[in-house]
Amino acid sequence: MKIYLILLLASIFACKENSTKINTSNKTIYKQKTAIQDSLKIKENMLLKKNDAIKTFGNPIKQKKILLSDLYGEFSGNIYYKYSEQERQSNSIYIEEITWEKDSVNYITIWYEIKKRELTPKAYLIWDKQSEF
Amino acid sequence: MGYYSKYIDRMDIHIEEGRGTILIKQKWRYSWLNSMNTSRWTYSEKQKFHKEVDNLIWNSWGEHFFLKVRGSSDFAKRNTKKRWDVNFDIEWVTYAEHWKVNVTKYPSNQVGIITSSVKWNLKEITLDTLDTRKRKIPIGGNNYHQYPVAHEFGHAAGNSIFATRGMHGDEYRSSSPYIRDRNSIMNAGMELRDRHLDYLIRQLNTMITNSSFSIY
Repeated sequence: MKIYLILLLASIFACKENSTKINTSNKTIYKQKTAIQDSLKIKENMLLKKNDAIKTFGNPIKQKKILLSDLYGEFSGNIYYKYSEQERQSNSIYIEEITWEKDSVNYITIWYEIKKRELTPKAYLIWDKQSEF
Repeated sequence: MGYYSKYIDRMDIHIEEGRGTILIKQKWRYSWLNSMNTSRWTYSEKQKFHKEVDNLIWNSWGEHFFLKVRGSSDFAKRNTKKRWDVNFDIEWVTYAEHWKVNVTKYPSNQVGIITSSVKWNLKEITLDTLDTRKRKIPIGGNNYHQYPVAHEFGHAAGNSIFATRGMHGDEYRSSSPYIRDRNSIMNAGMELRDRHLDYLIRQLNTMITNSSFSIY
């Protein structure tokens, strides 16, 4: 009888332990998922429409309209590869490059494609104020 | 015949009078980083990367600049007719570095540009494994070619707006007076210009009293 009781208690503890393990691992997966979603959210938010960017960062410190084919160099890498070589060489795509002071350490540059007076955000770069490219 | 050295934060400068050479030596301490889906750096991969960097810098920056020296010092007088070579060397170190260099490994089939940069004030360089490959840069119907690491080294050699007042940096930015000089190594090409030695000549001219170096 004692043996049956011991076996019964042991199996109850084993079940509890298993369920705890499952819960813990679920929690970990949930936390990981949330972290990934958060980071995606932050990335999405940085590709802001011009008005939203002004609301967020204030007035731009620099802006220029430029032909896509005239944008090159390490600095423009993020916008450069958003287009095919044919598009880059077409001389028909204009880009508005706008830079804001993001915080005390960084600038943010967002590139907008200009189409029928509409500005579509295409790429951005957050860069340290002390960086050269 | 003497040997003169200057040790500054971002490089060592050696003047070897006997051979008529000037050596600019930078010590780089690498941090080996990985992008997603890449294996850990092996020692032979690290060696290969460093060798490529060193060779590209030596070949693209070295044996190009020739200097002369003038002045009232004995050194200047006895070297009036000499044509000085300038060479550039990168040493891989694990401590006592001039520059901290963060290198990220990317898959060999990676498409696009991973932004590389130099922070002069922090003595920090950010590179990736695509930077030792020749890059085609099409502009206005013409193709230019550049090894990105040779361009980034240009910043570390003093072509930085942070180096001294009035110094020049990236030449492809609209604010640069050299934006049209697209073949320049600090623009989209691989060609060196006399101005790319401005910072180093300033440093050389502090090394030997009454001796002034300039382009030959």
